[in-house]
Amino acid sequence: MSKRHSSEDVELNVTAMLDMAFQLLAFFILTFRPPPGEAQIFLKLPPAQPVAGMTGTEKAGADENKDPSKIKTTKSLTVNLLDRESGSVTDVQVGIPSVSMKPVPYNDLEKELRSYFKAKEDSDAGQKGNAQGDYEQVVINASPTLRWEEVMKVVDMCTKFTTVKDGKLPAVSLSSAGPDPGG
Amino acid sequence: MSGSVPGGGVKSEPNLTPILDMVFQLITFFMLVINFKSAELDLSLQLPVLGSAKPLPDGAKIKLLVLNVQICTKCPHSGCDALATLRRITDDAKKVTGYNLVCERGHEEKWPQGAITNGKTCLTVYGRLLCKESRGKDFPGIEEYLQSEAELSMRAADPPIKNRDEIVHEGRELDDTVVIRADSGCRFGAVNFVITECQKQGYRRFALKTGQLEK
Repeated sequence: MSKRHSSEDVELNVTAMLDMAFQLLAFFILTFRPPPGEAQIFLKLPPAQPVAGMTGTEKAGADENKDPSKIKTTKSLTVNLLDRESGSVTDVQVGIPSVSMKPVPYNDLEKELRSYFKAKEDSDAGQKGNAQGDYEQVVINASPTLRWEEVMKVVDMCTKFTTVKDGKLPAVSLSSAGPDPGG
Repeated sequence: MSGSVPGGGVKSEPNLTPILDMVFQLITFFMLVINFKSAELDLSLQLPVLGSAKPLPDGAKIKLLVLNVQICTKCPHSGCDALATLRRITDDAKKVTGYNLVCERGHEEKWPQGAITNGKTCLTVYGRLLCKESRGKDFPGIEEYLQSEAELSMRAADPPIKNRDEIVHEGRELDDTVVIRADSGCRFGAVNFVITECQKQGYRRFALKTGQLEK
């Protein structure tokens, strides 16, 4: 208190502000959840098309005979994952459905894909690799009862390869070998 | 502040300024780290763990539609007609020690099977379970929910997409990336159903979420 100016010392009452601050603090502590450590695989998944490589702008039944070079086809390799309703992969087949599907042991699937696509490390190192063919897409056709984790392992496998033609990641497409059995 | 009181004693008041300073610093900290977006994540899901998946880069400006996919079943509690989902019981080291079924009304029952094999396909959206069929106004069917989200995305597109014909016939697609957060034990048919429904609405970009490998 200053006697010279004969005025009283003014002090703010901070109790109310402290109450409010504690309320805010309680709110933030209660709503705080540390972000989960998550990662992702980005895929561009166009809907399944009845005609291979047909784009959305093309009309069904259009006369393509005038200029066959305009017909865009994507050469796809199909990987069938069957589970006999056990949830885990029991049989694997690799190939082109209309031509032939080759049974492959699940543990050798990565080795089998190596004969169709170039391994990413070879591609990065500029090496040729032993891959043959010009496949651009992998269609994973899985049983609807297969566990999601098993399908993701195969998607993960596919992201380790690049196409022989242009060194890009092959397009991955998912399809189900039957309807979802759940309601 | 201290001073004399009429009784002759000494009046003492604690100095609250330092505690107020500290509380404001704590509030600032929590305000900076709070992430309201995590509310749309169902943290009870156990995501598959893969080596090649990459975390989303900081500051990535992509619009996301998060879909938590799992399987639900009828609550085993007698007299309850709600839907229940699987919850893993973990110990301190985050090792799974058992499974419970937890229903929408909070009933919790032991579930030794560890997986719901023939249950319903469902999406968890901010704590609500959405099934294939609608369960009332607040619980639309999966298709209905995705349709309403797609309509919002169509309006937000640049230039706006006026109707679905532009998607179906003119090859336009929605800008949003659909984030699929599916439980590792979920069946593929359920995830494929959700992906197909999204494709019908015009979504083409997908991010398949995985857990990160521990270093």
